[in-house]
Amino acid sequence: MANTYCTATNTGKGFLTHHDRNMFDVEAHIGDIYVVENNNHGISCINRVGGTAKVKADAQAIVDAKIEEHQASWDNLPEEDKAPIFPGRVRPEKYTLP
Amino acid sequence: MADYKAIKGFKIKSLASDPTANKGQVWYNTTSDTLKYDVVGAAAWASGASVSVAVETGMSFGTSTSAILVGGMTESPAVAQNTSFSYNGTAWTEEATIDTARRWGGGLGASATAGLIVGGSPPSMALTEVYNGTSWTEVNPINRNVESVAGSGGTVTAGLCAGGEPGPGIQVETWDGTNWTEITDLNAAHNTAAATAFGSPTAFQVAGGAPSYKATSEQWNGTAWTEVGDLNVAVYGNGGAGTTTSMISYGGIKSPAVVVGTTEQWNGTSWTEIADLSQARLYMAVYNGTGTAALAISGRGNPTPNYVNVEAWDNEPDGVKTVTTS
Repeated sequence: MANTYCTATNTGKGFLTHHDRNMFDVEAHIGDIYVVENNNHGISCINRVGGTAKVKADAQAIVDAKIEEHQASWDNLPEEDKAPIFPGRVRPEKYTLP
Repeated sequence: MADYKAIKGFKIKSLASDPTANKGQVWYNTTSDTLKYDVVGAAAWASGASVSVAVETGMSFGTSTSAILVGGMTESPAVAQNTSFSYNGTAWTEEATIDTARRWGGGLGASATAGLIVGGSPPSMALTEVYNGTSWTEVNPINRNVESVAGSGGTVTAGLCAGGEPGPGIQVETWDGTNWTEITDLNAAHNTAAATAFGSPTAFQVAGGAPSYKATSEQWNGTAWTEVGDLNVAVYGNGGAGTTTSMISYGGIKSPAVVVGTTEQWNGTSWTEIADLSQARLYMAVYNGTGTAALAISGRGNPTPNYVNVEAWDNEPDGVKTVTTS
């Protein structure tokens, strides 16, 4: 699947419709980054929701910066507020956008 | 006005009875005098109205068009909430506060005007509060302190709450509208699992959950718990909705830093992956909805913080529909 990348603000109901989800793949990521299947329906949706197109490197940089923010927040947490009290919560790790 | 033939190149057939195996076709049924079509089912999550407070491990009950969101934990500072909000399919409205702030409890109820929450933390509690559409009232507690339940579901007069911590995570109790009564234990712990929101004291199911990352699923028939088909993706913190013959499991975490949006459908026999949430998440406010219409409310990712956004599940099944005008 070829992807296109954008930033967009989720405005709630109607932002992504059932029709959208049946016509193209989309993933939401931290930093309001959306990875959208690169077809006519996906591009049309980006335009409809006022999304701003990004090249993959720029989208990845936004995600990385947000994760670094959360890594810093994690590092500043008292030890007792980490995993033992919040199961499944671990220090955020960077990942690569699809 | 253009007619069907002008658009499609052929006329709509007139038939005395509905044909079979005609996906995508339109016909006129001369017996019922109705225009009909055979729809191809479509399953997808769409954006719902966002909530005003981003929480994880909230509690919920009701349907996708008449739901309640209760409590939950904010991200920073990590504070259990005492708020409740109702959803009418279009917007969230703030409702009465609960008596005891909490997160990670169970929720039972068929609509936004009749349900209850049970247990939760911190610290782990047994308190039960009933909602009548106007106010919350504390009623008889469950017979143990419990949080991170395996699942809960049913109505305000007949439901079930399974598993949870502290303890071995296998205890189960039914609710009869007045009291909680302990029944047969689960075969294994399934903390923070998917469950049949519209289950009952005689038909209930849990799937996935912790400790570790579980794929197993257990079904209750009113007499015994039986292990049934496994999820395709082992997770905990997943959401669940539906009944023992039509259920979905969605989202969850499958390894320490990998949160998924995977949605699996249970047809009474086996689990099949059929869609994904657009926002991978775990610890959503559950348990609301059916196998064909449900809400993934708030929750969080990892590394991302708690979400305000909501997704609405719609799984229109294959079948014959009648064209109506409004």
